[in-house]
Amino acid sequence: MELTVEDMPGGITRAVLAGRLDIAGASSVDLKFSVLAGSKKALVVDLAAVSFVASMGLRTLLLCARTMTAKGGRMALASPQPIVDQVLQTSGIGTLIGVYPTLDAAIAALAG
Amino acid sequence: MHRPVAEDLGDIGPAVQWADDRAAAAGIGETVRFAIQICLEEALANLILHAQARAGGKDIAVGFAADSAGATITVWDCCLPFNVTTTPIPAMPSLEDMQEGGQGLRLLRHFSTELSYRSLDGRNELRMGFRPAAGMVT
Repeated sequence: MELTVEDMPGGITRAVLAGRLDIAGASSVDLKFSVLAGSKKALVVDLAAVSFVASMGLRTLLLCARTMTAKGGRMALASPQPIVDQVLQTSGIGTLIGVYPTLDAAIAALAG
Repeated sequence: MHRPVAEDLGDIGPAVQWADDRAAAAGIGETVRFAIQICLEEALANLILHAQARAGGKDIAVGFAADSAGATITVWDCCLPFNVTTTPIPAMPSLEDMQEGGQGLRLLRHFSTELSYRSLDGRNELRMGFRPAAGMVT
């Protein structure tokens, strides 16, 4: 699982995940997401290159969103592949964290 | 065909890969293979993280069988029984009140087309069917 982070205009940070967000993938990025949650105000997680997600990966995203929300920050998920989006919606995560079909839509939601 | 699974989260990935290799060899499509992978990961994670072992260990194994309609994954264990087919799934709370777990059962039930569980003589058996014609996965 690869994670790259890019600061964007407007105080928004883009975190790009690539690979499988399974147990091994989640454990490899948990600490980095904890750092992001504690240091960023607005975070877009770009899921376009994520091919698989299971509950441990959802937990990573949830913990990050919960930490950010608790300190007044915001988080959104962008561009999931259809099967990954199905996991997000089935799990209910999609009702707790905004999921947007494109990166631009997610950025606009955080900026609004 | 079956494969033992160590009581170690690090063995889940290889066990899922083992099942996926057999599914691919059987000509099963990518969407169904995705469903197999997610259900097997959830079932094994639940056993390794949460199930209570009896004396002698959890003794987990996974089996794969393909047929003309799809595939069946079977997970055996020697833990105290926990019927994932009947355990209530809690409603989704707010983000602030959300517990970290609970998604696994929901995913297991959604991505499999058949789910059965039985416990006999100290050994539990979870059978997960993946047959697109049954409806839930395509």
